[in-house]
Amino acid sequence: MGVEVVVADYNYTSIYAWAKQINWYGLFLATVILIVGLFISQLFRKLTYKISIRFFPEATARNIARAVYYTLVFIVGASALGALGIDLTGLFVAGGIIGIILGFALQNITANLFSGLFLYWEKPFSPGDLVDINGLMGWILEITVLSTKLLGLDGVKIRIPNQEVFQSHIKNYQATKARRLDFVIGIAYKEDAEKAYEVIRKVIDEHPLVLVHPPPDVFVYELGDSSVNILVRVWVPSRGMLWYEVYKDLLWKMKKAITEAGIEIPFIQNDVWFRTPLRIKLETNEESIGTTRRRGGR
Amino acid sequence: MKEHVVIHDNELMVEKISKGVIEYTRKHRGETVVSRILYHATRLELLPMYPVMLPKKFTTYILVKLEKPVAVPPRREVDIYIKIPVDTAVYAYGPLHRFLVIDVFTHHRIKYYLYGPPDRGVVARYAYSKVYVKKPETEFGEALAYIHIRNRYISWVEVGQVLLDAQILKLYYKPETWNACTQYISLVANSPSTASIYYGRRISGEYRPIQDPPDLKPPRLLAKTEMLWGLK
Repeated sequence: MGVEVVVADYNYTSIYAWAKQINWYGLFLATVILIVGLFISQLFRKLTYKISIRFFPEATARNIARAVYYTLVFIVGASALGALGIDLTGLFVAGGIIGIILGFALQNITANLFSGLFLYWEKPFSPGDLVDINGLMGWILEITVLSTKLLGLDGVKIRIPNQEVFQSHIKNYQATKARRLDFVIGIAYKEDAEKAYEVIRKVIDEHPLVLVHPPPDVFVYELGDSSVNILVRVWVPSRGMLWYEVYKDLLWKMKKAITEAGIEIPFIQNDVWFRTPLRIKLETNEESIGTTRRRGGR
Repeated sequence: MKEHVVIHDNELMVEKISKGVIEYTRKHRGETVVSRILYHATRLELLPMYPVMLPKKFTTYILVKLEKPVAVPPRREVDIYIKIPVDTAVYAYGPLHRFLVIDVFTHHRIKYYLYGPPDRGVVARYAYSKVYVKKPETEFGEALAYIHIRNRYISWVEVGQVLLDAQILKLYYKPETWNACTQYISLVANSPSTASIYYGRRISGEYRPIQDPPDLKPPRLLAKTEMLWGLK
């Protein structure tokens, strides 16, 4: 079995006719549009990157520049095809329909993208800040176009979509220079609250990280079920984790000082009153009597 | 070979543990709080340090409350002296005269103060000083600051506090003594509640500048501090 090779019999007249049909001017124009257009697109890419890097993080600036570049490349390509005389109406109609379909399919991504941009403009936090977003607490690692990444206090990395971040209550613990810490200390009803104030104030004064101004506030804020509750409000620097050091340190020192001063910190006490008289059944068995007495309480 | 020096509640000890190796230890009220091993340290020196390093360095500001506010008439200038607290740093020098601050301690009570609102103000080391009209003597842990107050406002201004920035402030010491001072400082009151602090030339005499820890002195274009949230 062999292969038959057929050599085409070129008809030079037909090639000339074909060449004559080509729109050489259009081809030249399309080539020029393509080369110049791609060059300009590249220039715009660099320009957009250089401008947006001033306002956005590097990753976002690069993505914006890339988006601008591909949009321009698409326009250049369409123009070049137009110069060749190719009708793009059908392509645009198809593109429009695809765009609508993609719009529906990618609406979450688009929402996250725009939320990310709004977050950049609003700047509720910066990388390194300690924040609380919808109850998730951690340090901001990165704010990308689609999501915000946190390093949780337990060392777990958390990714939150930007749309959720944008619609959440955000607490930024490091947006201010100082923050307030509240402590509640319960003392027994029989104790002198003013003596407790004195002891607490001494502990607060000795702590270097409790600010002199705004001044600490110590007062009875509630007459609780089992104790007189004293509220202690102090201001501390919010830089780093200094507030956490004070938080850990101060409550124990106050408790120790109060105990050393002989002030009672009571346990929760419940008095049970019976509306009807309580009947206690006495049995002759000594052990049962003992048990009943113990159960009867007072 | 073991040497030790006692400064208030702190006992500083240097022990040669091998050839070219020394151990530096500081005990506070009998409890060891710092212990370092140093190789090829040629000299250890105690020098005054800006009071912003303890218990941790998180600010560079020092707010000095004056015992009595100073009232300055409109368009007039007055000169006062105040004392600012300084901590004590242990400098270890090595080859090429390079240094390392191995320890900072103080005998002052450390407290901080929020000057301004929580969102825009500054947290500053809190200090309290008498106002001196004549140059006073300083003791260990104090630095003398000469403040020139100029009232540019059209009415009387009362100055009851001075905000200083350790990034611009310069400390000088007299060798072989505990005497320390800052450069000349000028407080220009622009209104009853705002002022600009300018840091001028050094005080003449036998004073030497301390070697600043590099992270405390970033390059700055504008060497002034603005007091925007009150002078009293």
